[in-house]
Amino acid sequence: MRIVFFLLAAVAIPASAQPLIFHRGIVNAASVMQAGLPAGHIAQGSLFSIFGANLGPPSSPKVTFPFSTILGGVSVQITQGGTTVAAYPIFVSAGQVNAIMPSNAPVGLVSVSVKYNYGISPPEPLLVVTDSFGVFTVDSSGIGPGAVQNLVDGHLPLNTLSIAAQSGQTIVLYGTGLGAALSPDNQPPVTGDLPTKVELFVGGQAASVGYSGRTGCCAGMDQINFTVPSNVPFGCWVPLQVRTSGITVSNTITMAISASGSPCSDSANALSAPFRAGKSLGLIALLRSDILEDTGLQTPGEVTTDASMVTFQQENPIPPVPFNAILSLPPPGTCTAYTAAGDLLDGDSVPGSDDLGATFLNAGTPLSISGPGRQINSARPANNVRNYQPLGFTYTGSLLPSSLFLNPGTYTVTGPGGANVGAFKASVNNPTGLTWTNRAQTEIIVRSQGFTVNWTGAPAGQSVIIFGGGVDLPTNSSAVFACIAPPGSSSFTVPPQILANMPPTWDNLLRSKDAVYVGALATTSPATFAASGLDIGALVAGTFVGKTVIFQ
Amino acid sequence: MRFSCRTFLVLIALVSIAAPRLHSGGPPRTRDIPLPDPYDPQDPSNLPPLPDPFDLPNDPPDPFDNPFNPSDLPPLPDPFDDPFPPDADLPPLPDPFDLPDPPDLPDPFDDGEPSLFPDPFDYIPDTFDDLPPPIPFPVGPLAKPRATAAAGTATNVPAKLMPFPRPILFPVHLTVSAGATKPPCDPNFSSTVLIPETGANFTGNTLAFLATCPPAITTRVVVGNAPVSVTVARDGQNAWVANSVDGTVSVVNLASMTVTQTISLTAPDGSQPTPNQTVFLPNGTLAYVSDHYCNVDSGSYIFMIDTSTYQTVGTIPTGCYPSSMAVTPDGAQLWISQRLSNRVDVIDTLTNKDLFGFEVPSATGIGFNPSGTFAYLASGTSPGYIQVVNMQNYQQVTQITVGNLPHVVAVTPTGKHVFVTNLGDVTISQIDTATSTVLRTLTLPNGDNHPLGLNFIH
Repeated sequence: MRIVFFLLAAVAIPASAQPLIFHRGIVNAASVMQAGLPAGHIAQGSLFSIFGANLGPPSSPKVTFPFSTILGGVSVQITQGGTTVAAYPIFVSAGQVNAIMPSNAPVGLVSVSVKYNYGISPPEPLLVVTDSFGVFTVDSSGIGPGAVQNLVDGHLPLNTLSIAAQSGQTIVLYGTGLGAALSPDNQPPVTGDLPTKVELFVGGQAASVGYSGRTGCCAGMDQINFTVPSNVPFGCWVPLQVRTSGITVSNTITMAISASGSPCSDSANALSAPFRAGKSLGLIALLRSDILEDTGLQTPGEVTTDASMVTFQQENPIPPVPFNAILSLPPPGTCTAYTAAGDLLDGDSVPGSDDLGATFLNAGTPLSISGPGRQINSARPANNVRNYQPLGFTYTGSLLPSSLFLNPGTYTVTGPGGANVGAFKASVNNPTGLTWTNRAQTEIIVRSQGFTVNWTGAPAGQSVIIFGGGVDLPTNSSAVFACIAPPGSSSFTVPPQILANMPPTWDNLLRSKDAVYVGALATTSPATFAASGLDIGALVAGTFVGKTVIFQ
Repeated sequence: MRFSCRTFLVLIALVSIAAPRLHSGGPPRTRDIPLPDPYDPQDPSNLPPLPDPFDLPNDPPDPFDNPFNPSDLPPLPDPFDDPFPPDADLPPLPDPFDLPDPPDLPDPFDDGEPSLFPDPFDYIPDTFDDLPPPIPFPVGPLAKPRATAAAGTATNVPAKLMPFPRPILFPVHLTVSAGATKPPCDPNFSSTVLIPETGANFTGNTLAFLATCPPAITTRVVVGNAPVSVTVARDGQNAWVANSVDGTVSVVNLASMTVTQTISLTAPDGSQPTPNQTVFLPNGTLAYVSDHYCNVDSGSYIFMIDTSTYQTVGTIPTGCYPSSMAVTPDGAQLWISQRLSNRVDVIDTLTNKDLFGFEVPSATGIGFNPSGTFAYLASGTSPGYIQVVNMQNYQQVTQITVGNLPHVVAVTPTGKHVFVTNLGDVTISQIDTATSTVLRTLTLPNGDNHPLGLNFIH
C-alpha cells in the first residue's frame, strides 16, 4: 500500500517545481552587469539579484531588522569547498530573489543554491570579490541617469535634466559593492568610510570624494559623496564612473551638469532638446563602416558595409529623466560606456537604445534613397520601430562584385508619408571620411593605459566619434564605449576607466570580438527636413573606419 | 501504518524531490537536500500566520515611484557633517527592492542590424547560380580524405594565425565522376586534419596527419590500439587520442609528431575502460575522457585528468555508453549525451554535480553556439532531429528535423550555422540558426561510408 502511494505520488507531482537559477543569472543589483565582464562579479556585503524560476513565493514578506537567512521560506547558500555561508534575502519571488552577500563570504569561485519549499536549486557558479561597485540608476537598468542627488541648501533633490548639478557642488550617489560592512550585514548599517579605495570620474575628470561607505538606512547599500570638478564639461548626460581598488570600474551612469544648476543643455547635440521636450523627431543616418580585420590573420582584409538607420519617434509620456543611448550623447571631450548581455557588435542592442517609453511614428514605407547613379528603397517595419538596412557590401578578395552605395556625394531621401508623419524630401552631403592616421599601429590596447587615436581630414563642422567594443562570446557578454572628441581636435585619448569594462581578448581569438571605429557625423548641425506631424527631422551621413584590436 | 492526510502531503513533497531521478536512466545520484521528518505531524499549511513583531511604520519614501515631484522631498542633513545622524530624517533613497530587468532580455527590435564585426560568410548567397566562372580557390572542408582505414572522430589542428576569412563555396553535391576535373586548391591555405585510424575490426593503431592541399597523408604516428577520437588541447600544442581497446589516452606533440605521454585509465570498479572521447575546459587545465562502457549496476564514468600532470584526479558517474560530451564555452558545465538512456545530462564543472537533464531519444551529438546561449542536441533517430535548448533557462526552444540517425553536431565559429552528420542516409544537414531551418542537405559520395566526424578548417 505504501509503495502504491509512493508510485502514485511520483506520477502525479511534476518535477518542474524545483528551484532553478538561470545560468549567469546572478548579478549586482545596481549595475546588473553581466558575469563575463570585468566588473560583473559580486562583492562581499553587496546587494545582488538572482534570476530563475520557482525561486520563491508569489509575494515577498516584509523584511525587518535583524534580517533572517530565511525569507518567505527562501534561503540562499554560498558554498566554497567545505565552507557554506547563508545570504540574507530581502526580496523573494518566483522569478527573482534579491539578497545581501555576507561580508564573510569566501572570496573566489563559489556555488550558489536557492532553497525553497523543500527543494534546492542546482548550484550556479559565481565569483565573489572584495569589491565591485555598481551604481543604481533611475530605471534600475544599470544604464543611463543615475540615482544621484544634488546638495542644495540642505536639500537633496534628485539630479534631473531640470535640476542639474554645477561645478563645486556636493553630490550624493547610491550603489552597492564597496566591500564588507563595518557591522553585521543583517543589522542596520553603521556608517563610516570603508577601507576600499574609491575614485570617481565625472565627464572624465577625477572628482574629490568626501565619503564612501554604507548608507544609514539600508543594509547592503553604499553611498558616495563627491564634489563636481571645476573643469567638468556641461551636458544633460555627463558620464560618471566609480573605480574601486584602482582596478574595477562600475557601470557608467549619467548626470546633468550646467553652469549654474539651471536646466541642462547639449550644445553639440541638435536632437537633445527636442528629445527631452517630448517632441516628435525623425533621424535618418546613412553610414559606411570600413573595418580592417587583421588581428591574428595571416592576410589582413577590409570589410566595407553601407547601411541606413531610420527612426521616427516621440517620448510620450516624457519620463522624469529621459534617456536613449542613441540620442543621449555625452558632451564633447567625454566618453561613455555600456554593457549588456549578447553581442553588441553584431546586432544586439544597447540597453536603453530601444527606448521602451517611446512611441514610434508611422512615416510610411519605403523610403527612397537616391545617390550618385543609384537609388535604393529602404523598407520600414510594420511596427514603425527603429530599423537598420544594409545598403551595400564588399570585402577584400570577394568573388562577388561590390555593391557599395554610400560613396561620397549628395544623397536625397524621400519619404512617402504615413499615418503620423507626412511626406518629406531631404538631402545631405556625404563627405569623404576622415583618415585615421595611426590605425595600422592600433593593435594591442592595454586597457589600464588607455589609447590615443589620431586623424586628419575630419569634415568641417562635424563631431568626431570614437567608438569601440568588446564581446566575450563564451559568457555572452559585451561592452561598448563611445567618445565625442572636442571640436577642432585631431587627436583623442580614450581613458583607462572607460576601457576597464571591456572584456580582455581571449588567446583563442575566435572567442572574442574586439574592434574600434573612428568617424564623424554632423551631430551639432545636421541636415534638417520638415514634414507634417514631425517637430524636427534630421539627416546625417558619414563614414567610420575601424580596426580589429586586442584588449589586454 | 495508517497514513494521515498530513503525512500523505509530506510524502508527496518527498517524492516530488525524487521524481526527476525516477525517470532517469542513469545511476542514482544523491542530493544535498534537507528533508523534513516524515513523521512530523505538522503540516505547514495548517499553521496560523505568525504576527510580525517588527512591523515598522513610515518606511522611507521611494523617490522613483511615479509620479515623481522633486519638490516633495523632506529637508535633509548636511551629508558631510555626518552622513546620516541617528536622529535625522532619512533621505529619499532609491528603492533597493525595485526589480532590475532580468538579464538577457530578448531584443524587441531585432531588425537585422548590420554587424560591426562583419563576417564575409554572412553575405554569401544561398544559391550559386549567379556566381562568376570558377577560379582557383581552396578546397572546402568536405574534401574527402584518401585514407582507407576506418576513421574515428577527426579533428583539425588550429593554426595560430588564421588565414583571412575566405569564401568556402559549398556545392550542393560534392561528387567526383570519371573524367571530371577537380578544382585546384591553394597550398597557401592548406590545413592539417588529424585522423585516428581505428582500422577494420578495431585493429588500427595510428594517428594520421592529412594535409588538405594537396590532399595527402604526410605522417602517421603510432598510438594505442584502436584509436577512436582525437582532440587538440586548448593550447594547440598536443593532441589527445583515445585508444578504445587498451584503455589509454595518447598525448601526441603536434610539433614533433611524437607520443609524449600515455595515460593509463582504470575505472573505479577496477576494470579497464574503453576511452571514447576527450574534451577540455576552456582554460585547458582539465580534460574529460568518456568511457564507452556499461555496468548494469553503476553505468559508466567520465575521467577527469589534470593536463599538467596527466594524472586522473577524479571520476564523474554517468549513464551507460556516453555517446558524446561537450564543455560549454564558459567552461561552467559539461554536457553528456547517453544514447541508451535517451537523455543528456548537464554537470556543473565546479562541483561535478548533476545540474539538469533532458530527455532526448537516442541522444548523440551536442553543439553550442559560441556565446553559450543555445545548445543543439541530436536525437539519433530516423528521421532524426536537433533539439534546440535555451542554455539559460534550460527550456527547449524548437526541434529541427534533419536526416536519419544524426550523429555529430558542429556549430560554426560564427554561430550562424550548425552542421549535422546523418549516418543513416550519408548526408550532412546545414542549419541556419537564425531561422532554425535546414538550409541544405549535402550528399556525400560513396554512399556506403558513414560520416562520423566533422570539423572546420580555418
